Amino acid sequence: MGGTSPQRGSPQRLPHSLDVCLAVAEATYKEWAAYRSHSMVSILVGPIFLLVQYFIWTAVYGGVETLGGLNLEQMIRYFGASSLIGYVTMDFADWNLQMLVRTGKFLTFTLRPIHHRFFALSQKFGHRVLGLLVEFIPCLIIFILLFRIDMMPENILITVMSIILAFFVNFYVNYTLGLLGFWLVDAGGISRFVGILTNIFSGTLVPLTLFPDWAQYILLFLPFTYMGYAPTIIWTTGHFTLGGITMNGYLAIAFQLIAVCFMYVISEIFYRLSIRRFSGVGA
Amino acid sequence: MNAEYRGENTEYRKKHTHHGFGRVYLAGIGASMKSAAAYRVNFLLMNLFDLVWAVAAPLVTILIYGSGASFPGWTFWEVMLMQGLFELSSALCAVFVENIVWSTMNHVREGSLETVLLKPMPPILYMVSTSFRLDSFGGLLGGLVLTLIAAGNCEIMAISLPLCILIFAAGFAVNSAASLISAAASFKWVANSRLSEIRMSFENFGIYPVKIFPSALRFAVTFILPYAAMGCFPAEILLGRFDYINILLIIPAALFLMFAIWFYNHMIRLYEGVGG
Repeated sequence: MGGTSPQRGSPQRLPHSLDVCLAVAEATYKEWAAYRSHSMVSILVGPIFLLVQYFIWTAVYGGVETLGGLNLEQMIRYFGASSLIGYVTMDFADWNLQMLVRTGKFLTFTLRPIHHRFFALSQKFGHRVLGLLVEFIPCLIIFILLFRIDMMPENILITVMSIILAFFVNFYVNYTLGLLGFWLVDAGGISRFVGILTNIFSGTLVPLTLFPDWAQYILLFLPFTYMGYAPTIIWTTGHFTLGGITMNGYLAIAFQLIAVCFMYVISEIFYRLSIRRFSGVGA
Repeated sequence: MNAEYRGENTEYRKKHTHHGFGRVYLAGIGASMKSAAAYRVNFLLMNLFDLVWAVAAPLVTILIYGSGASFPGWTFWEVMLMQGLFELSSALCAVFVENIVWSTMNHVREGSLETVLLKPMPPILYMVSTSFRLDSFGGLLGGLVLTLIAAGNCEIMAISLPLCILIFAAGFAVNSAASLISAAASFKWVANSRLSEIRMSFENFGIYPVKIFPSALRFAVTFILPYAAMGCFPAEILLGRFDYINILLIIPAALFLMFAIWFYNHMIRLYEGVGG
């Protein structure tokens, strides 16, 4: 460990961690800003997705007033919010960690005075700040000006807090998934499978309130719900509804916080079990 | 290596290209099978997940109909038929063509395309022939199962099958052309792993009844970029509700494919490498 690194328990530890986090985030931002046109693909893909959703749901609502507790206007806003939230919470910590383990490059992290998970989280901060600037904001402007959708959240503060927590749940779930790289030669298949589950059960394809009641009860206790559906429905309606249970934004955030803590603990336990399996030669 | 073998003799290339394509394609399938045998668990998982995804893809429709709503003029099983055909078309492209996007992208990023350019056959044929993906067969199976089950629950006009196959082939051509254009774009837009997302976003216009779109958009997905030929029109043909003027879409579909091939061959000139 470098001589300048504050030791555990030092009063300088938190500010130092913050410095490290900001430095890693800034470096990641600069690294990915060189490829900002890749992120800007969302400016084309996002509006096309919303356009299709607009026509699908306009056709479907022809004979009904509400679906899953949402009227047509709310449903369109739901999909707009879902896209936008995806841009700031998107994560590929699983792919990154699996790549580091597979190539042996993870070895360099075992020598650094920093937990790899903290490093990866800091990277995500930098990466998603770029997402905020080149994906979220341009798409939000397009949704408002071109599609004429009222994208104003019902409660801005609660919505922002919910998105931040979804950011963390996404990260911890994906990081835990990435740890499979220590156990399997190629964990791409499992990652793809969980990706499918996430798409289905985080409310990206369709609001979870359209699922059968029994499925909604189960989803209430799965982390997927808090990765996308919770902030999206809070943005859309100002409250959280699932499985016939409606709770205000603050209570929903408490549930999200529990999901963050739960996934943090799971990732830590799994990290400790996984790290013992790592072997590298020089990297 | 003599000049003729290197492919400098155009006549030699023309004479041997088709024969070579067949052999290289078989070799590509063989390599894909060997790779699958080496990573058996991953291969099985990938196929299983593709199968699950193909069956889960119509989830939105299942939930919409489960909630008591519907697409006007379409019963549940009719929509399933359309989406099964779409999944089949999409999976066919994934098995036979789509991987050219990733292989081209990797060659451009690593600067190793010379190894392809030196081979005595057109690069585009070589890239397609080595793009066979055995691990996408699950999606093909899922799409087929979904189509057959849905067809069993609909009143199908079997006599329309040849026309359905023709339009389905046009849809496959459109999707393949879009893959080739994505691959070609990677010569300029290096290592952009999101190129496929653009293509897939347009696919969304083929998975739902085309009548839900306004007339301008309907015209676009029928006669400009005929994505409706992937799922909607083949289903309409089988259900006996196809507007026969739409057969004309095979012209823009063929033109789009020809443009994609020209575009790939044109963009390959932008490749820069230093020996692979």
